[in-house]
Amino acid sequence: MSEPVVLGIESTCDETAAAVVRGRTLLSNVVASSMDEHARYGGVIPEIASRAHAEAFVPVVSKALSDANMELDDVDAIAVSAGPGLAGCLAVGVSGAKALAWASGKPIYGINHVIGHIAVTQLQFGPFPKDTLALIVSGGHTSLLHVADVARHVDVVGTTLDDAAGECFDKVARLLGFPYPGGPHIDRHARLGNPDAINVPQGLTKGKSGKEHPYDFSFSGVKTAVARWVEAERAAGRPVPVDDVCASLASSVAGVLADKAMHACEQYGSKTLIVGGGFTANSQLRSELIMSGRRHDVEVRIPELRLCTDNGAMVAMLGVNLVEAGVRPSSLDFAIDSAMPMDVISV
Amino acid sequence: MTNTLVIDTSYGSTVGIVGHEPVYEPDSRTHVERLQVNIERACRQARLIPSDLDRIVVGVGPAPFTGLRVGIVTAKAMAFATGAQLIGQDVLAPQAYALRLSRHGNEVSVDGHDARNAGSRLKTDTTNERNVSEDQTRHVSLAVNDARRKQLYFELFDGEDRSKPLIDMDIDYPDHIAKRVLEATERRFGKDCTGVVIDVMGHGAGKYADSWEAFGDGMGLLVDHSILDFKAKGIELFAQCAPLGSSADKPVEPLYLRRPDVSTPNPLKHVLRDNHTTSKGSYAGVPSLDDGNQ
Ligand SMILES: [Zn+2]
Repeated sequence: MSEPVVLGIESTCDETAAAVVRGRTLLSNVVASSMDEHARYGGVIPEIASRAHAEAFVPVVSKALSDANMELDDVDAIAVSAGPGLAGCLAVGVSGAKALAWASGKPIYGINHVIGHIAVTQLQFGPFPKDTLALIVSGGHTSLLHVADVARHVDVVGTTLDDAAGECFDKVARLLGFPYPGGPHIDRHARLGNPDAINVPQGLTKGKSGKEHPYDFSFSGVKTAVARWVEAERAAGRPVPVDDVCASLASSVAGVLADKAMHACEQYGSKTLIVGGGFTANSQLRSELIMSGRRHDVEVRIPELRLCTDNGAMVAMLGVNLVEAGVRPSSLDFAIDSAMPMDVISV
Repeated sequence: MTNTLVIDTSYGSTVGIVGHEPVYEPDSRTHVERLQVNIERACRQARLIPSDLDRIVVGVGPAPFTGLRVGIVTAKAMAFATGAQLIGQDVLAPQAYALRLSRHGNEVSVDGHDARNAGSRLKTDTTNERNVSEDQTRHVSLAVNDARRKQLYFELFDGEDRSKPLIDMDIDYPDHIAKRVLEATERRFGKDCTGVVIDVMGHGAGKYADSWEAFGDGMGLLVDHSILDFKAKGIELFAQCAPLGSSADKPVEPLYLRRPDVSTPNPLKHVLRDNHTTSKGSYAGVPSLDDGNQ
């Protein structure tokens, strides 16, 4: 078979996205975001995001096809994120994708969005070496995964037991009064501050819980500790040293992510760490991962930002992997799964 | 011959090809799984393949959010993929249309078919029998759809004058609706309103029958069904309404009527105990998606 052409559709949160991938080549990549509409609420409002998906769906798909100089008939398959994500948002993307697939007679794959974050790195770095590990971090996910075969076999090494890393940043950002999304603000202030100024706890790193959960994460304590500290400073009438708070937070979070990822690489004999998810935009995390990679002789693959954040290319790329592996397409009545387990690759 | 597919998700879901029996699904929670499968079934029953579709008429509400959206995005995507013409039709005007047809009996002929059939079906399905073809009686039609949370979507039509509704499409509590209907009727027909009959039709009409007691002697038919419940005839009439009621090039957008439930959080207080928003994806456990399609 010549290289499969797959249309990928993404609608798990506030991005409506579609892309066309042929083999390992990205032919088009269209993203419409409703982020601005959520800004004044300080977080994604599911109903607003769902409304935006319903409006953007056809225009985004149509543009992805025309940017790729294609019609729907020219693709071999359609892939769509079936979870994890916001149920109301997934419902729009999956229903639309099913309609396209049925109307055009194409096979459809309902895929796991998080595995898409792993798959998309092939567009920039090529195939996965044996025993690749993947660290996926965003506002929604914080997962450490072992990739045996991206189309058939991915294992969960670790995951967050409470908040996602990006979520923790968003909440602290709100506490400090930054507009949503707060990540970029924390990043900027963190560069100016002292990372050792405040003692920010690193969840599941010490003692019994650290032993029981060597590769799991916990960020709710981080958020609480920072919130308490800031409240105490305010109560005492002292100005909050915003730069130091951000630097300490970023350093703590980046440190624990990098340490656990490298530790897992050692354990699994992995020489490659793939990184994905919107939180990868964080510069403290990027540099921490690259430095730790050097120390541990692990190649760290962080794709360019537009491939890290939620997009259709990640869905299309995983779709290509599934077609190439001969995985059976999803049946037309497949359900969405807002809490899809990480070891499910397609439904 | 024009092959028209009707898709409506304003109350459960109904899909069908005009001229054939539709497929009805009462459970709104299974739209994502069932809708496309049902469309496939409806087309197979009519021996059509997707490229045979010329026209897709989709119900645009007013109706609760999630289900409505699924129907509309499905219709839009299918129209995009097949090149079929896409028309949005609200679900209230066709109820008034059905009531009018039932009053006129065989006067209205539809596409060569006799509409008396729809009329008689409508009458047999009513709980409040009354001779509706009496001369001199003026009719107003209150079309409703269940909005949940003890509210109804509604629109009030003059029984014969199609040009402009007496009350534009809105959402309200049934008791308020009854009051507003009486006020609008008085405005239109004068203070005593003698000989004016108010027919009520749609999902929720029966559930809130107590509220219509306010109409007193003026209460006419009470039809606790939407037009789409009238099987093949229903989707035929619904599709027929479409080019009449709305211009074909109007954008097809959902009639939500209700704003999303959101409040702007207090920055400090909500950090430790936050429920209103989801950070870009603390997905699982977001408690409610919408206004209760569950
Ligand atoms: Zn993501």
